Amino acid sequence: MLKFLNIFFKDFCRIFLRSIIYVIIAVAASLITGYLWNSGFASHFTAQTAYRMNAARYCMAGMWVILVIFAAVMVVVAACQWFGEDILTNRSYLNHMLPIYTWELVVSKALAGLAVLLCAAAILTWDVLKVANSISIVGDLLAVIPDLSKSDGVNFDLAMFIRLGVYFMLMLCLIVMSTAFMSQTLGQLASRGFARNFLIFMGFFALLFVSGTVLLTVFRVFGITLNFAELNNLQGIFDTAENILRLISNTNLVLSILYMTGASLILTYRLNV
Amino acid sequence: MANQKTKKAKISPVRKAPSAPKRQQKPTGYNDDILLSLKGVKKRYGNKYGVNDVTFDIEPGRIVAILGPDGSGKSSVARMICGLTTVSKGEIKVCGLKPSRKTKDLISFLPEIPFVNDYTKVSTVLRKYKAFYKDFDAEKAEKLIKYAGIKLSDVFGRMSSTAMQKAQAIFVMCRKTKLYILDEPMTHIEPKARDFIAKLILSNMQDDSSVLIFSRIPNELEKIIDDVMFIHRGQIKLAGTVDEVRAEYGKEVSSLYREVYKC
Repeated sequence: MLKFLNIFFKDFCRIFLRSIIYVIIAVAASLITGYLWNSGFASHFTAQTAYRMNAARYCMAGMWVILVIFAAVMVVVAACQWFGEDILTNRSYLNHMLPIYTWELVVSKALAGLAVLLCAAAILTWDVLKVANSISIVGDLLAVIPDLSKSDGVNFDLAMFIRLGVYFMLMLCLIVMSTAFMSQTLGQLASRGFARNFLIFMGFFALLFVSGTVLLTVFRVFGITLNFAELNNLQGIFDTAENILRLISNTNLVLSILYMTGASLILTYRLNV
Repeated sequence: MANQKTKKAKISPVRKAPSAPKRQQKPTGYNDDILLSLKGVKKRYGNKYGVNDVTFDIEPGRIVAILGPDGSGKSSVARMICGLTTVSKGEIKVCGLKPSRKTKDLISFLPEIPFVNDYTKVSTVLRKYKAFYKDFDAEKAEKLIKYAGIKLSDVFGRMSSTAMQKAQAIFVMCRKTKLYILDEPMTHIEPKARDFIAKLILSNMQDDSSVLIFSRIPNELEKIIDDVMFIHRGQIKLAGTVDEVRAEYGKEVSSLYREVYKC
Protein backbone atom coordinates (compact mmCIF):
# COMPACT_ATOMS: atom_id res chain seq x y z
CA MET A 1 0.00 0.00 0.00
CA LEU A 2 2.82 2.36 0.92
CA LYS A 3 4.54 1.66 -2.38
CA PHE A 4 1.30 2.29 -4.26
CA LEU A 5 0.81 5.62 -2.48
CA ASN A 6 4.39 6.51 -3.28
CA ILE A 7 4.01 5.84 -7.01
CA PHE A 8 0.62 7.60 -6.98
CA PHE A 9 2.16 10.71 -5.39
CA LYS A 10 4.98 10.77 -7.95
CA ASP A 11 2.51 10.38 -10.81
CA PHE A 12 0.28 13.08 -9.34
CA CYS A 13 3.20 15.54 -9.11
CA ARG A 14 4.33 14.79 -12.65
CA ILE A 15 0.86 15.14 -14.22
CA PHE A 16 0.15 18.25 -12.12
CA LEU A 17 3.37 19.91 -13.26
CA ARG A 18 2.64 19.04 -16.86
CA SER A 19 -0.92 20.35 -16.91
CA ILE A 20 -0.78 23.25 -14.44
CA ILE A 21 0.39 25.59 -17.21
CA TYR A 22 -2.99 25.28 -18.96
CA VAL A 23 -4.85 26.01 -15.73
CA ILE A 24 -2.61 29.02 -15.15
CA ILE A 25 -3.36 30.28 -18.67
CA ALA A 26 -7.11 29.93 -18.04
CA VAL A 27 -6.90 31.69 -14.67
CA ALA A 28 -4.66 34.46 -16.01
CA ALA A 29 -6.97 35.11 -18.96
CA SER A 30 -10.03 35.43 -16.75
CA LEU A 31 -8.23 37.62 -14.19
CA ILE A 32 -7.12 39.97 -16.96
CA THR A 33 -10.69 40.04 -18.26
CA GLY A 34 -12.05 40.83 -14.80
CA TYR A 35 -9.46 43.58 -14.32
CA LEU A 36 -10.34 45.17 -17.65
CA TRP A 37 -14.06 45.02 -16.80
CA ASN A 38 -13.59 46.63 -13.41
CA SER A 39 -11.34 49.35 -14.74
CA GLY A 40 -14.03 51.06 -16.73
CA PHE A 41 -14.62 48.72 -19.64
CA ALA A 42 -18.38 48.72 -18.94
CA SER A 43 -18.51 52.53 -18.90
CA HIS A 44 -17.76 52.61 -22.62
CA PHE A 45 -21.27 51.37 -23.33
CA THR A 46 -24.35 53.53 -23.39
CA ALA A 47 -27.98 52.49 -23.15
CA GLN A 48 -28.12 52.40 -26.95
CA THR A 49 -25.10 50.14 -27.19
CA ALA A 50 -25.98 47.88 -24.26
CA TYR A 51 -26.46 44.96 -26.63
CA ARG A 52 -22.74 45.22 -27.47
CA MET A 53 -21.92 44.93 -23.78
CA ASN A 54 -24.09 41.81 -23.52
CA ALA A 55 -22.43 40.40 -26.63
CA ALA A 56 -19.03 41.01 -25.02
CA ARG A 57 -20.21 39.27 -21.86
CA TYR A 58 -21.34 36.21 -23.76
CA CYS A 59 -18.09 36.14 -25.71
CA MET A 60 -16.15 36.21 -22.45
CA ALA A 61 -18.33 33.53 -20.94
CA GLY A 62 -17.76 31.42 -24.05
CA MET A 63 -14.02 32.00 -23.80
CA TRP A 64 -14.01 30.82 -20.18
CA VAL A 65 -15.96 27.72 -21.03
CA ILE A 66 -13.52 26.93 -23.84
CA LEU A 67 -10.52 27.54 -21.57
CA VAL A 68 -11.99 25.45 -18.77
CA ILE A 69 -12.73 22.57 -21.16
CA PHE A 70 -9.29 23.02 -22.74
CA ALA A 71 -7.59 22.84 -19.32
CA ALA A 72 -9.61 19.72 -18.39
CA VAL A 73 -8.80 18.07 -21.72
CA MET A 74 -5.11 18.86 -21.30
CA VAL A 75 -5.09 17.19 -17.88
CA VAL A 76 -6.54 14.03 -19.45
CA VAL A 77 -4.08 14.28 -22.35
CA ALA A 78 -1.18 14.76 -19.90
CA ALA A 79 -2.30 11.67 -17.97
CA CYS A 80 -2.49 9.61 -21.18
CA GLN A 81 0.88 10.89 -22.42
CA TRP A 82 2.44 10.16 -19.04
CA PHE A 83 1.02 6.64 -19.21
CA GLY A 84 2.55 6.10 -22.66
CA GLU A 85 5.96 7.49 -21.75
CA ASP A 86 6.18 5.93 -18.32
CA ILE A 87 4.79 2.49 -19.09
CA LEU A 88 5.06 1.70 -22.77
CA THR A 89 8.34 3.14 -24.04
CA ASN A 90 11.83 1.83 -23.46
CA ARG A 91 12.41 4.76 -21.07
CA SER A 92 10.08 2.97 -18.66
CA TYR A 93 12.48 0.21 -17.61
CA LEU A 94 12.97 1.69 -14.14
CA ASN A 95 9.22 1.70 -13.48
CA HIS A 96 8.77 -1.85 -14.70
CA MET A 97 11.66 -3.01 -12.52
CA LEU A 98 10.13 -1.52 -9.37
CA PRO A 99 8.83 -4.24 -7.04
CA ILE A 100 5.17 -3.36 -7.54
CA TYR A 101 2.32 -4.96 -9.48
CA THR A 102 1.59 -3.79 -13.00
CA TRP A 103 -1.99 -2.89 -12.08
CA GLU A 104 -0.61 -0.49 -9.49
CA LEU A 105 1.30 1.35 -12.23
CA VAL A 106 -1.86 1.58 -14.38
CA VAL A 107 -4.29 2.55 -11.61
CA SER A 108 -1.94 5.10 -10.04
CA LYS A 109 -1.78 6.97 -13.35
CA ALA A 110 -5.55 6.99 -13.79
CA LEU A 111 -6.17 8.12 -10.21
CA ALA A 112 -3.41 10.72 -10.39
CA GLY A 113 -5.00 12.09 -13.58
CA LEU A 114 -8.39 12.31 -11.87
CA ALA A 115 -6.93 13.92 -8.75
CA VAL A 116 -5.15 16.55 -10.86
CA LEU A 117 -8.39 17.12 -12.74
CA LEU A 118 -10.22 17.73 -9.45
CA CYS A 119 -7.54 20.22 -8.38
CA ALA A 120 -7.76 21.97 -11.75
CA ALA A 121 -11.57 22.02 -11.50
CA ALA A 122 -11.38 23.55 -8.01
CA ILE A 123 -8.99 26.27 -9.18
CA LEU A 124 -11.04 26.99 -12.30
CA THR A 125 -14.32 27.10 -10.34
CA TRP A 126 -12.84 29.62 -7.94
CA ASP A 127 -11.52 31.54 -10.93
CA VAL A 128 -14.84 31.56 -12.77
CA LEU A 129 -16.82 32.56 -9.67
CA LYS A 130 -14.35 35.32 -8.87
CA VAL A 131 -14.61 36.77 -12.35
CA ALA A 132 -18.34 36.10 -12.41
CA ASN A 133 -18.64 38.62 -9.58
CA SER A 134 -16.98 41.17 -11.81
CA ILE A 135 -19.30 40.84 -14.78
CA SER A 136 -22.16 39.01 -13.05
CA ILE A 137 -23.07 36.85 -16.04
CA VAL A 138 -22.37 33.48 -14.40
CA GLY A 139 -24.06 34.70 -11.22
CA ASP A 140 -27.13 35.61 -13.21
CA LEU A 141 -27.21 32.21 -14.82
CA LEU A 142 -26.77 30.38 -11.50
CA ALA A 143 -29.46 32.51 -9.90
CA VAL A 144 -31.99 31.08 -12.34
CA ILE A 145 -31.44 27.51 -11.15
CA PRO A 146 -32.82 27.80 -7.57
CA ASP A 147 -35.92 29.48 -9.05
CA LEU A 148 -36.65 26.27 -10.89
CA SER A 149 -37.09 24.37 -7.62
CA LYS A 150 -39.67 26.91 -6.52
CA SER A 151 -41.94 26.00 -9.42
CA ASP A 152 -45.17 24.36 -8.37
CA GLY A 153 -45.03 20.59 -7.95
CA VAL A 154 -41.39 20.25 -9.07
CA ASN A 155 -39.07 18.18 -6.91
CA PHE A 156 -35.56 19.44 -7.68
CA ASP A 157 -32.49 19.05 -5.48
CA LEU A 158 -29.76 21.42 -6.68
CA ALA A 159 -27.03 20.00 -4.39
CA MET A 160 -27.74 16.49 -5.64
CA PHE A 161 -27.57 17.66 -9.24
CA ILE A 162 -24.22 19.36 -8.64
CA ARG A 163 -22.85 16.19 -7.01
CA LEU A 164 -24.16 14.10 -9.87
CA GLY A 165 -22.70 16.54 -12.41
CA VAL A 166 -19.25 16.35 -10.82
CA TYR A 167 -19.47 12.53 -10.66
CA PHE A 168 -20.57 12.43 -14.30
CA MET A 169 -17.69 14.64 -15.48
CA LEU A 170 -15.14 12.65 -13.50
CA MET A 171 -16.41 9.33 -14.85
CA LEU A 172 -16.39 10.79 -18.37
CA CYS A 173 -12.72 11.72 -17.93
CA LEU A 174 -11.96 8.33 -16.39
CA ILE A 175 -13.53 6.44 -19.31
CA VAL A 176 -11.61 8.56 -21.84
CA MET A 177 -8.39 7.99 -19.89
CA SER A 178 -8.89 4.25 -19.45
CA THR A 179 -9.91 3.85 -23.11
CA ALA A 180 -6.70 5.63 -24.13
CA PHE A 181 -4.68 3.48 -21.66
CA MET A 182 -6.21 0.30 -23.04
CA SER A 183 -5.74 1.22 -26.70
CA GLN A 184 -2.15 2.35 -26.07
CA THR A 185 -1.51 -0.96 -24.34
CA LEU A 186 -3.04 -2.85 -27.26
CA GLY A 187 -0.67 -0.95 -29.57
CA GLN A 188 2.21 -2.07 -27.37
CA LEU A 189 1.53 -5.66 -28.50
CA ALA A 190 2.56 -4.74 -32.05
CA SER A 191 6.28 -4.40 -32.46
CA ARG A 192 6.81 -0.86 -33.80
CA GLY A 193 5.78 1.72 -36.35
CA PHE A 194 2.65 1.64 -38.45
CA ALA A 195 1.21 -1.56 -36.96
CA ARG A 196 1.48 -0.10 -33.49
CA ASN A 197 -0.21 3.20 -34.37
CA PHE A 198 -2.89 1.42 -36.37
CA LEU A 199 -3.66 -0.87 -33.43
CA ILE A 200 -3.85 2.12 -31.05
CA PHE A 201 -6.16 4.01 -33.44
CA MET A 202 -8.45 1.05 -34.15
CA GLY A 203 -8.38 -0.02 -30.51
CA PHE A 204 -9.52 3.41 -29.33
CA PHE A 205 -12.51 3.54 -31.67
CA ALA A 206 -13.39 -0.11 -31.08
CA LEU A 207 -13.45 0.54 -27.34
CA LEU A 208 -15.57 3.65 -27.80
CA PHE A 209 -18.00 1.55 -29.87
CA VAL A 210 -18.06 -1.09 -27.13
CA SER A 211 -18.71 1.61 -24.52
CA GLY A 212 -21.58 3.05 -26.56
CA THR A 213 -23.11 -0.38 -27.11
CA VAL A 214 -22.89 -1.22 -23.43
CA LEU A 215 -24.49 2.13 -22.55
CA LEU A 216 -27.37 1.55 -24.93
CA THR A 217 -27.88 -1.97 -23.53
CA VAL A 218 -27.90 -0.63 -19.99
CA PHE A 219 -30.40 2.05 -21.01
CA ARG A 220 -32.69 -0.57 -22.53
CA VAL A 221 -32.40 -2.85 -19.49
CA PHE A 222 -33.31 0.03 -17.16
CA GLY A 223 -36.15 1.13 -19.43
CA ILE A 224 -34.76 4.53 -20.29
CA THR A 225 -35.60 5.57 -23.84
CA LEU A 226 -35.58 8.94 -25.50
CA ASN A 227 -39.31 9.33 -25.26
CA PHE A 228 -40.00 12.99 -25.89
CA ALA A 229 -43.55 12.59 -24.62
CA GLU A 230 -42.15 12.25 -21.09
CA LEU A 231 -40.18 15.44 -21.51
CA ASN A 232 -43.15 17.72 -21.82
CA ASN A 233 -42.94 18.94 -18.24
CA LEU A 234 -40.13 20.19 -16.02
CA GLN A 235 -40.28 17.27 -13.59
CA GLY A 236 -40.03 14.76 -16.45
CA ILE A 237 -36.94 16.51 -17.81
CA PHE A 238 -35.25 16.55 -14.39
CA ASP A 239 -36.02 12.89 -13.67
CA THR A 240 -34.83 11.70 -17.08
CA ALA A 241 -31.67 13.81 -16.87
CA GLU A 242 -30.93 12.44 -13.39
CA ASN A 243 -31.41 8.84 -14.48
CA ILE A 244 -29.31 9.27 -17.60
CA LEU A 245 -26.47 11.01 -15.73
CA ARG A 246 -26.42 8.33 -13.04
CA LEU A 247 -26.55 5.40 -15.45
CA ILE A 248 -23.89 6.81 -17.79
CA SER A 249 -21.61 7.56 -14.83
CA ASN A 250 -22.02 4.12 -13.25
CA THR A 251 -21.57 2.36 -16.58
CA ASN A 252 -18.46 4.43 -17.31
CA LEU A 253 -17.05 3.52 -13.91
CA VAL A 254 -17.57 -0.22 -14.53
CA LEU A 255 -16.16 0.01 -18.07
CA SER A 256 -13.14 2.01 -16.86
CA ILE A 257 -12.36 -0.64 -14.25
CA LEU A 258 -12.67 -3.31 -16.96
CA TYR A 259 -10.37 -1.41 -19.35
CA MET A 260 -7.78 -0.79 -16.67
CA THR A 261 -7.90 -4.45 -15.67
CA GLY A 262 -7.48 -5.36 -19.34
CA ALA A 263 -4.49 -3.03 -19.72
CA SER A 264 -2.93 -4.45 -16.53
CA LEU A 265 -3.44 -8.05 -17.71
CA ILE A 266 -1.98 -7.37 -21.16
CA LEU A 267 1.04 -5.65 -19.61
CA THR A 268 1.50 -8.46 -17.09
CA TYR A 269 1.33 -11.30 -19.60
CA ARG A 270 2.35 -9.68 -22.90
CA LEU A 271 4.73 -6.93 -21.87
CA ASN A 272 6.82 -5.78 -24.84
CA VAL A 273 9.01 -2.79 -24.03
CA MET B 1 53.70 -16.25 -25.76
CA ALA B 2 55.64 -17.63 -28.74
CA ASN B 3 55.48 -21.17 -27.35
CA GLN B 4 51.89 -20.88 -26.51
CA LYS B 5 49.79 -23.46 -28.24
CA THR B 6 47.37 -21.72 -30.60
CA LYS B 7 44.25 -23.14 -32.13
CA LYS B 8 42.04 -21.68 -34.84
CA ALA B 9 38.88 -20.22 -33.35
CA LYS B 10 35.95 -22.42 -33.99
CA ILE B 11 32.47 -21.82 -32.70
CA SER B 12 31.14 -24.97 -31.16
CA PRO B 13 27.63 -25.35 -29.79
CA VAL B 14 28.23 -25.69 -26.10
CA ARG B 15 24.95 -25.38 -24.29
CA LYS B 16 25.98 -26.43 -20.81
CA ALA B 17 26.47 -23.94 -18.07
CA PRO B 18 29.98 -22.91 -17.15
CA SER B 19 31.25 -25.63 -14.85
CA ALA B 20 34.29 -24.04 -13.28
CA PRO B 21 34.84 -24.27 -9.54
CA LYS B 22 33.02 -21.61 -7.60
CA ARG B 23 34.91 -18.53 -6.58
CA GLN B 24 32.77 -17.88 -3.55
CA GLN B 25 31.22 -20.02 -0.90
CA LYS B 26 27.86 -21.70 -1.52
CA PRO B 27 24.81 -19.51 -1.16
CA THR B 28 21.93 -20.30 1.10
CA GLY B 29 18.21 -19.85 0.76
CA TYR B 30 17.36 -21.55 -2.51
CA ASN B 31 17.68 -24.94 -4.12
CA ASP B 32 20.16 -26.41 -6.55
CA ASP B 33 22.65 -23.58 -6.25
CA ILE B 34 21.26 -22.13 -9.45
CA LEU B 35 20.61 -18.41 -9.45
CA LEU B 36 19.42 -18.08 -13.00
CA SER B 37 18.23 -20.79 -15.33
CA LEU B 38 17.23 -20.49 -18.98
CA LYS B 39 15.86 -23.56 -20.78
CA GLY B 40 15.18 -23.52 -24.52
CA VAL B 41 14.28 -19.84 -24.44
CA LYS B 42 13.03 -18.35 -27.70
CA LYS B 43 11.88 -14.88 -28.61
CA ARG B 44 9.98 -14.34 -31.82
CA TYR B 45 9.83 -11.02 -33.69
CA GLY B 46 7.37 -11.43 -36.55
CA ASN B 47 8.61 -14.36 -38.63
CA LYS B 48 12.09 -14.38 -37.17
CA TYR B 49 13.51 -15.65 -33.90
CA GLY B 50 15.60 -12.95 -32.25
CA VAL B 51 16.55 -15.48 -29.58
CA ASN B 52 16.54 -19.13 -30.58
CA ASP B 53 16.82 -21.93 -28.05
CA VAL B 54 19.07 -20.35 -25.44
CA THR B 55 19.92 -22.57 -22.50
CA PHE B 56 22.29 -21.85 -19.65
CA ASP B 57 22.50 -21.74 -15.87
CA ILE B 58 24.27 -19.19 -13.70
CA GLU B 59 25.56 -20.14 -10.28
CA PRO B 60 25.99 -17.66 -7.43
CA GLY B 61 29.26 -15.81 -7.07
CA ARG B 62 30.06 -15.62 -10.77
CA ILE B 63 30.62 -12.75 -13.17
CA VAL B 64 29.44 -13.94 -16.56
CA ALA B 65 29.76 -12.11 -19.86
CA ILE B 66 27.54 -12.82 -22.83
CA LEU B 67 29.30 -11.40 -25.86
CA GLY B 68 27.95 -10.86 -29.32
CA PRO B 69 27.56 -8.27 -32.07
CA ASP B 70 24.55 -6.03 -32.65
CA GLY B 71 21.35 -7.94 -33.33
CA SER B 72 22.61 -11.18 -31.82
CA GLY B 73 19.84 -11.22 -29.21
CA LYS B 74 21.72 -10.03 -26.11
CA SER B 75 19.31 -7.30 -25.08
CA SER B 76 16.31 -9.52 -25.75
CA VAL B 77 17.71 -12.16 -23.39
CA ALA B 78 18.37 -9.47 -20.76
CA ARG B 79 14.86 -8.05 -21.07
CA MET B 80 13.27 -11.49 -20.90
CA ILE B 81 15.17 -12.32 -17.71
CA CYS B 82 14.00 -9.03 -16.19
CA GLY B 83 10.42 -9.65 -17.28
CA LEU B 84 10.40 -6.56 -19.51
CA THR B 85 9.31 -8.60 -22.48
CA THR B 86 7.55 -11.93 -22.69
CA VAL B 87 9.19 -15.24 -23.59
CA SER B 88 7.85 -16.82 -26.80
CA LYS B 89 8.94 -20.31 -25.80
CA GLY B 90 11.01 -21.93 -23.07
CA GLU B 91 11.45 -21.20 -19.41
CA ILE B 92 13.32 -18.65 -17.35
CA LYS B 93 13.76 -18.99 -13.61
CA VAL B 94 15.41 -16.58 -11.22
CA CYS B 95 16.09 -18.29 -7.88
CA GLY B 96 13.47 -20.84 -8.90
CA LEU B 97 10.84 -18.20 -9.71
CA LYS B 98 9.43 -17.18 -13.07
CA PRO B 99 9.97 -13.48 -13.90
CA SER B 100 7.32 -11.64 -11.90
CA ARG B 101 6.92 -8.96 -9.25
CA LYS B 102 8.84 -11.15 -6.78
CA THR B 103 11.86 -11.51 -9.04
CA LYS B 104 12.10 -7.73 -9.39
CA ASP B 105 13.37 -7.72 -5.81
CA LEU B 106 16.10 -10.15 -6.83
CA ILE B 107 17.31 -8.45 -10.01
CA SER B 108 19.09 -5.14 -10.48
CA PHE B 109 19.02 -4.17 -14.14
CA LEU B 110 21.18 -1.69 -16.03
CA PRO B 111 19.85 -1.18 -19.55
CA GLU B 112 21.93 0.05 -22.49
CA ILE B 113 19.72 3.10 -22.94
CA PRO B 114 18.61 5.58 -20.25
CA PHE B 115 16.00 3.92 -18.04
CA VAL B 116 14.17 7.16 -17.27
CA ASN B 117 12.83 10.13 -19.21
CA ASP B 118 15.18 12.90 -20.30
CA TYR B 119 13.79 15.42 -17.83
CA THR B 120 14.26 13.22 -14.76
CA LYS B 121 16.76 14.47 -12.18
CA VAL B 122 19.42 12.26 -10.59
CA SER B 123 17.95 13.10 -7.16
CA THR B 124 14.53 11.86 -8.32
CA VAL B 125 15.95 8.48 -9.27
CA LEU B 126 17.85 8.35 -5.98
CA ARG B 127 14.62 8.98 -4.04
CA LYS B 128 12.79 6.38 -6.11
CA TYR B 129 15.43 3.72 -5.43
CA LYS B 130 15.43 4.64 -1.73
CA ALA B 131 11.64 4.43 -1.53
CA PHE B 132 11.14 1.17 -3.39
CA TYR B 133 14.21 -0.98 -2.69
CA LYS B 134 14.94 -1.99 0.86
CA ASP B 135 18.34 -3.30 -0.22
CA PHE B 136 19.45 0.03 -1.69
CA ASP B 137 22.37 1.77 0.01
CA ALA B 138 21.41 5.42 -0.56
CA GLU B 139 24.34 6.91 1.35
CA LYS B 140 26.85 4.94 -0.64
CA ALA B 141 25.10 5.85 -3.90
CA GLU B 142 25.15 9.54 -3.01
CA LYS B 143 28.85 9.40 -2.18
CA LEU B 144 29.65 7.57 -5.41
CA ILE B 145 27.61 10.02 -7.46
CA LYS B 146 29.55 12.93 -5.99
CA TYR B 147 32.82 11.02 -6.51
CA ALA B 148 31.89 10.50 -10.17
CA GLY B 149 31.49 14.27 -10.57
CA ILE B 150 27.73 14.15 -11.03
CA LYS B 151 25.40 16.59 -9.31
CA LEU B 152 22.13 15.41 -7.77
CA SER B 153 20.37 18.26 -9.57
CA ASP B 154 21.61 17.10 -12.98
CA VAL B 155 18.94 16.12 -15.47
CA PHE B 156 19.45 12.86 -17.38
CA GLY B 157 18.66 14.41 -20.76
CA ARG B 158 21.43 16.99 -20.39
CA MET B 159 24.13 14.63 -19.14
CA SER B 160 26.87 13.14 -21.31
CA SER B 161 26.44 9.48 -22.17
CA THR B 162 29.38 8.63 -19.91
CA ALA B 163 27.96 10.51 -16.91
CA MET B 164 24.53 9.01 -17.51
CA GLN B 165 25.87 5.46 -17.70
CA LYS B 166 27.98 6.05 -14.57
CA ALA B 167 24.96 7.34 -12.65
CA GLN B 168 22.77 4.44 -13.75
CA ALA B 169 25.51 1.91 -12.93
CA ILE B 170 25.88 3.42 -9.45
CA PHE B 171 22.15 3.08 -8.76
CA VAL B 172 22.11 -0.49 -10.03
CA MET B 173 25.22 -1.64 -8.19
CA CYS B 174 24.31 0.03 -4.88
CA ARG B 175 21.57 -2.52 -4.38
CA LYS B 176 22.43 -5.62 -2.36
CA THR B 177 20.63 -8.12 -4.50
CA LYS B 178 21.06 -11.60 -5.98
CA LEU B 179 21.45 -10.93 -9.66
CA TYR B 180 22.88 -7.91 -11.45
CA ILE B 181 22.11 -7.70 -15.14
CA LEU B 182 24.15 -5.15 -17.02
CA ASP B 183 23.38 -4.54 -20.69
CA GLU B 184 26.30 -2.88 -22.49
CA PRO B 185 27.67 -1.20 -19.36
CA MET B 186 30.87 -0.08 -21.09
CA THR B 187 29.82 0.56 -24.67
CA HIS B 188 28.96 4.23 -24.97
CA ILE B 189 31.46 5.57 -22.47
CA GLU B 190 35.02 6.79 -22.45
CA PRO B 191 37.88 4.39 -21.48
CA LYS B 192 38.51 5.98 -18.07
CA ALA B 193 34.88 5.49 -17.11
CA ARG B 194 35.11 1.82 -18.09
CA ASP B 195 37.62 1.28 -15.30
CA PHE B 196 35.28 3.09 -12.92
CA ILE B 197 32.41 0.75 -13.82
CA ALA B 198 34.66 -2.34 -13.61
CA LYS B 199 35.71 -1.29 -10.10
CA LEU B 200 32.11 -0.52 -9.23
CA ILE B 201 31.05 -4.04 -10.21
CA LEU B 202 33.83 -5.75 -8.30
CA SER B 203 33.49 -3.67 -5.15
CA ASN B 204 29.71 -3.78 -4.87
CA MET B 205 28.92 -7.33 -5.90
CA GLN B 206 27.66 -9.45 -3.01
CA ASP B 207 29.26 -12.79 -2.09
CA ASP B 208 26.17 -14.80 -2.98
CA SER B 209 25.19 -12.81 -6.01
CA SER B 210 26.10 -12.99 -9.67
CA VAL B 211 26.64 -10.44 -12.38
CA LEU B 212 25.51 -11.11 -15.93
CA ILE B 213 27.03 -8.70 -18.42
CA PHE B 214 25.83 -8.40 -22.01
CA SER B 215 28.33 -6.65 -24.24
CA ARG B 216 29.86 -6.30 -27.68
CA ILE B 217 33.13 -4.91 -26.29
CA PRO B 218 35.03 -7.65 -24.45
CA ASN B 219 38.35 -5.83 -23.84
CA GLU B 220 37.77 -4.25 -20.43
CA LEU B 221 35.45 -7.03 -19.31
CA GLU B 222 38.00 -9.77 -19.67
CA LYS B 223 39.81 -8.57 -16.54
CA ILE B 224 36.80 -9.05 -14.33
CA ILE B 225 34.72 -11.93 -15.72
CA ASP B 226 34.82 -15.58 -14.65
CA ASP B 227 32.75 -17.11 -17.44
CA VAL B 228 32.06 -16.17 -21.01
CA MET B 229 29.46 -17.05 -23.61
CA PHE B 230 29.35 -16.08 -27.27
CA ILE B 231 25.92 -15.46 -28.71
CA HIS B 232 25.27 -15.37 -32.44
CA ARG B 233 21.94 -15.00 -34.23
CA GLY B 234 20.09 -15.74 -31.05
CA GLN B 235 22.00 -18.87 -30.13
CA ILE B 236 24.73 -19.55 -27.60
CA LYS B 237 27.66 -20.79 -29.66
CA LEU B 238 30.37 -21.05 -27.06
CA ALA B 239 30.38 -21.22 -23.29
CA GLY B 240 33.01 -21.82 -20.65
CA THR B 241 35.17 -20.23 -18.05
CA VAL B 242 37.63 -17.60 -19.23
CA ASP B 243 40.51 -19.89 -18.29
CA GLU B 244 39.00 -22.79 -20.22
CA VAL B 245 38.49 -20.66 -23.31
CA ARG B 246 42.04 -19.29 -23.11
CA ALA B 247 43.46 -22.81 -22.67
CA GLU B 248 41.39 -24.32 -25.47
CA TYR B 249 41.93 -21.62 -28.07
CA GLY B 250 45.31 -20.34 -26.92
CA LYS B 251 44.31 -16.70 -26.96
CA GLU B 252 42.59 -14.03 -24.99
CA VAL B 253 38.79 -13.84 -25.08
CA SER B 254 38.90 -10.43 -26.79
CA SER B 255 41.19 -11.78 -29.54
CA LEU B 256 38.96 -14.78 -29.99
CA TYR B 257 35.91 -12.51 -30.16
CA ARG B 258 37.52 -10.37 -32.85
CA GLU B 259 38.45 -13.48 -34.83
CA VAL B 260 35.04 -15.10 -34.56
CA TYR B 261 33.05 -11.99 -35.36
CA LYS B 262 35.59 -10.61 -37.87
CA CYS B 263 35.93 -7.25 -36.14
